[in-house]
Amino acid sequence: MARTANRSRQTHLVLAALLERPSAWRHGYDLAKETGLKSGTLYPILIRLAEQGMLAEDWEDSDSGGRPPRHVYRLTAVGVRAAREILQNAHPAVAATLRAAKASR
Amino acid sequence: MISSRSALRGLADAASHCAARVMPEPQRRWTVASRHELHAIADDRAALRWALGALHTACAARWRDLHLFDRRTVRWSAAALSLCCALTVIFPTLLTLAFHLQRTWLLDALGQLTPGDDWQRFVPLMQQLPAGLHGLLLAAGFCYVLGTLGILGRRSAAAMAVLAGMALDLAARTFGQLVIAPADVVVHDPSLLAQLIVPVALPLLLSFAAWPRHRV
Repeated sequence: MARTANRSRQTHLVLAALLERPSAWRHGYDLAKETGLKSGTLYPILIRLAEQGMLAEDWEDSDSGGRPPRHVYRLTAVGVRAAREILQNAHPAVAATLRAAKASR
Repeated sequence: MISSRSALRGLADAASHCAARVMPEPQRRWTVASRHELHAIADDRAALRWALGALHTACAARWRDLHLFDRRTVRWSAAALSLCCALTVIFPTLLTLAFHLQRTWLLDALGQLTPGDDWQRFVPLMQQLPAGLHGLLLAAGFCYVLGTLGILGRRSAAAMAVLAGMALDLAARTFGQLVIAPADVVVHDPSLLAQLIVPVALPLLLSFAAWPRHRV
């Protein structure tokens, strides 16, 4: 069964957060705090975006000794273009939600 | 306090381990990633919530990966069960309708499906059942029918329809107990076969029968 397109409010939040700094690698927990999403919501979105070719992923070695490497994400060139198109029609509440999540941190 | 914080962190670690084992192989790196994130989360409660979310993601991915309803046998069996639930749930309303319309042939036919083949002992119930209860039963039956059609059409919304049917069915049974008790009518409790084996055990068995095909 085909999956629905990237139309959910939660997907828009993730795309907007990634689009704020499209060239920067972002950690999963930081994205979760910025968007206010739980890991059970965030990871399926990241997995789907990666499968669609919109998200690049990499492993970043930890600065602290003994800690495992962390997975990092950023939008691909295709993903940046697609995210801008998607967010053009997104509900204005997405930006408000991002601001509220930042303010509460 | 220190021991309770450590216990929460231990639970988080266990949940993330479980998530990594449950997640299908092609996507396992995501649960490894979520597990590594735990080291960046200072608060133990937040770490446990994070790990449980990752476990939920892994379980959902594993369920999708099974492709259980791709097999016609599983699909048709699940649809048949849903249809049986629909017929069971609207039976009291059908019987009551036949009684009020005085359709004796229909009463006799439906009565043969009841224990003792005697519909007349249900007359006190049929006279007292409120319209609201019939509404609940019909709504539950409608949801089950929608679920049946959704399963056959491989729609993801079928699960919600069946769950809604079950919720309405449960509400109707609970409400119905208030009417049955004072009516002094003996209503036989459904057998273990009807309560557990057919609705729960049989689908699980069918699911396990379908599993080996997708482990290749």
